[in-house]
Amino acid sequence: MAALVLEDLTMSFGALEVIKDISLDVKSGERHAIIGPNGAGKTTLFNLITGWLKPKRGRILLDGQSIAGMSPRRLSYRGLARSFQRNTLFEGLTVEENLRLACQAHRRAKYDPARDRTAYKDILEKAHVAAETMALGDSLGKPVDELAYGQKRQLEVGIALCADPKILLLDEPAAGTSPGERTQLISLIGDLPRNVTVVLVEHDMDVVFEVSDRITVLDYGRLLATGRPEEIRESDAVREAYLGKSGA
Amino acid sequence: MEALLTNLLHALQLSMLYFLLAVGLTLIFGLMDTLNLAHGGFYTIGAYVGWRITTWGGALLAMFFAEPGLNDFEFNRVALQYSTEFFWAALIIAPVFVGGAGYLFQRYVLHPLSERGRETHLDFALLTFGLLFVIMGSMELVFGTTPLSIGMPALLTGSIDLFGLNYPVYRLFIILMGIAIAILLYFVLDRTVWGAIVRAGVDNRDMVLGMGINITKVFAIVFAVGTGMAALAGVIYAPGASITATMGARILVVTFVIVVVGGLGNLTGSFYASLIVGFVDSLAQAYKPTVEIFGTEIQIDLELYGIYILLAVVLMIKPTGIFGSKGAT
Amino acid sequence: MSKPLTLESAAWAVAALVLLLLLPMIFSATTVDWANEVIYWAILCLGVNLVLGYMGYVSLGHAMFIGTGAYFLALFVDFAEVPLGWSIPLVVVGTALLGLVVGAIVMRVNRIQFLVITLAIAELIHGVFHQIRATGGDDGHSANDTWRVDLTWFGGWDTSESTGFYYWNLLCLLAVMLVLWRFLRSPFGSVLVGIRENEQRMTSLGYNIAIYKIIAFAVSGAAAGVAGILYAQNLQSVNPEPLTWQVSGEALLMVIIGGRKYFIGPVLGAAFYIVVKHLLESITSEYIIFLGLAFMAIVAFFGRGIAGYFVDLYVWAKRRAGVGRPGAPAAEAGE
Repeated sequence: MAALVLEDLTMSFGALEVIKDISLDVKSGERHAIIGPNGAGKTTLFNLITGWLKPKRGRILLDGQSIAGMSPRRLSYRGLARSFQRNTLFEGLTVEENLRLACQAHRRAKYDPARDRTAYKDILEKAHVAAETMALGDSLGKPVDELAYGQKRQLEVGIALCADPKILLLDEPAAGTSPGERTQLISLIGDLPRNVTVVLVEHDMDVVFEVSDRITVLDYGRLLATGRPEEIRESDAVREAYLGKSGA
Repeated sequence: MEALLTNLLHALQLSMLYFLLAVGLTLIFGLMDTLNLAHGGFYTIGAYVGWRITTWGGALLAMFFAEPGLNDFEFNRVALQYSTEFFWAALIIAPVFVGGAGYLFQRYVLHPLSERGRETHLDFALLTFGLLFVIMGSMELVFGTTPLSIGMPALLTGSIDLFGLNYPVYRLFIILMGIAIAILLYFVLDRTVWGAIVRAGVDNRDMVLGMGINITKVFAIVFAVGTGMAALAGVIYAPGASITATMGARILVVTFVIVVVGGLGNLTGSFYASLIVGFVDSLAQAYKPTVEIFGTEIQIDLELYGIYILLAVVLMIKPTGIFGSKGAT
Repeated sequence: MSKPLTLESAAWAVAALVLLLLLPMIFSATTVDWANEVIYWAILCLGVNLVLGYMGYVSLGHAMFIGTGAYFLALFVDFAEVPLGWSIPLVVVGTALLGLVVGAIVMRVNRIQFLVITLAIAELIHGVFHQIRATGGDDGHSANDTWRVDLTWFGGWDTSESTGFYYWNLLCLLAVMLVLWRFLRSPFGSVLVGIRENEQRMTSLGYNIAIYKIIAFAVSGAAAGVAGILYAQNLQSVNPEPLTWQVSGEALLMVIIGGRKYFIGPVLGAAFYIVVKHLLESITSEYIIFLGLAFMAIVAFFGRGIAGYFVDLYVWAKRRAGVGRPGAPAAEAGE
């Protein structure tokens, strides 16, 4: 069954069309990577799906229901969570507090003005689970600005994970990481529970071919190809338009 | 009809005074993202320095040209007479002096702090806010709490016949100065290399940084120009009113209203917003309608809050200002 | 630091409380007057710091809350003739409502605009009270009868004289601190810190940040409203002076000097500011130069303020004594 469907999605900034008639199915539980050279429209596509931008034309279906034009806030309640290409963390707070804030986001507890925030044991518990999932269990008490860069990228994904997403959208999770950190991230993303659908944008081909079930290639806002990793690797069109150019 | 025309001209005059302040604030914010809360302070220094120049100048001339054997009182009177013409010197020296101070402040205080990278633009707003208090205190310490004034130079006294209207030359001078500065700025920004750099910097600072331009210097010079214009406004304003340490406070609030209404960092916006706010403010001062509520006559005096109502309305309709903020097209 | 109350921090709190209770007995009558002045500033600053230190927005308009708080007390007691016991909670509600309205106007704007607009709205309200003839316009209005609460039934507690009034002030300060402390330690309070750190992420997580901003502003305004009540009771009169932008500005100076990152910072800042002001007043009336420079230095070089110095001193002392690992006695905002 398709968890996420895009139908003839089009987006433009002024006269510039950055997304052109993209149609795509993402299956439930799938690991789906979106690749393409710089300016291919990957992040714009993410912003359209997560509600930060409104599409000019076309539909976005989440579990069969149209969600185009909904606010990011409402979409988060629909089970859509995302990470950002640039670290979007609560820099001054500890890892635990970062995750706890994320875990209480959909709970009535967030409106409670009287009880101590640590009194909600289940929320704290959940934050700890997310920390374990992203291999941050030892750094719970550390302020974010003291974390290594790779750990920040793990937290970036961890925060998104706290919202119990049906679909997790990861915007270049491995951006800027060292090879060692990248291996760690690949294994962590690979180990994410299978009931979560993962859509990721990524530059790094190791990450892409390692974790994804299917890959979609964008070029100048157009959909070039969709298929299994080996199909994409062998596709002439892709090689010409993308792999050849970037030399990857 | 004549009263209306006079009021409109007054409004234009007020607008131009506001513009001199607002454009400096906008330039600085547009380029450096620093909301200079001390802007009103630089305006105040400008007025005080202007006063100092005229009084010293007058005393100096009196020493050479006054008849000998005058007592102190008479000597001071003569010095005061001579001092008025030093307005023109003050008009040039005070902005240069204050602009120099602004240059040093940006170059040796704000810029090194921004290099350290931890401070946000809000911290800079706070820092300049502290400076505003320091300036106000220092001015009182140096010049005392008694309001001071600069005499009107001969050329600006009296009135002139304007479209059959008897209009004070001094006010006309303010209008012309404002327009002249606006045109000058337009030319510098639009037609010179320096202007191109500044405009590019306002649009996209990273791009200018990437072009290998000495941004430290550009920032400091723009800060100097902005504060210098505030000082110019201070000197221009001085002959028409009294100089006090707090004179910069009220006008600073008005200037803020202008830059928000015009859109933060939007230069053309600041010009039109100056006109809008100047007219609203001026007309609110001129017309005070009375209404009858529950049998008592209440005069609606919008003088104190006409512009704030304008601001609230603009924000509710368009939070980025009428002409749009920088980076929020 | 997830434990909210350790034995050690409780000991510190008790020691501070005992010192405050004994203050009138140790120091002169002038000190008690200063303390009364410190307390309403401290409460105002606690309100300011809820928005500044926790939520990350600089308000230059909190004068509107302390000012209207004072005026509301005058209006309720002397004009509407509401009993004093009812007027006080009504004033708190009134300033909270003002906070809701203003919060609704400013919730959409960015941090720089916020600063400008809060200032403008405060000036607007200043203008209004300046003109209302019923409350004496610029001259203000003096209390018909006393505005101080009669507590003589409680062991002869006399609030009409300075020491008795000091204890009433202290009670109010502690009450406000307790309420704000609970509020800021709650899940709701942690959302405000999240807004300070990253609004984009908060929205992405599903928080409706506008609502939090409005409520935070209202709570902050209500706290400053309490300061207004104490201000009016202290003076036994109201005037437009606490509505001026200088009051918002000085409160900002106090909060930053005291340390915006600490819950206790605003209180320390108010105490430091008022004491230094009075000490310098005998030398020069331009004490603001010194305090302004101190403020600038703290913004530029030591953003954690006096409270931060205390923490460093404490950590240093502990390390010297060789006891355990360092821990902060005052909870840092949001930790």
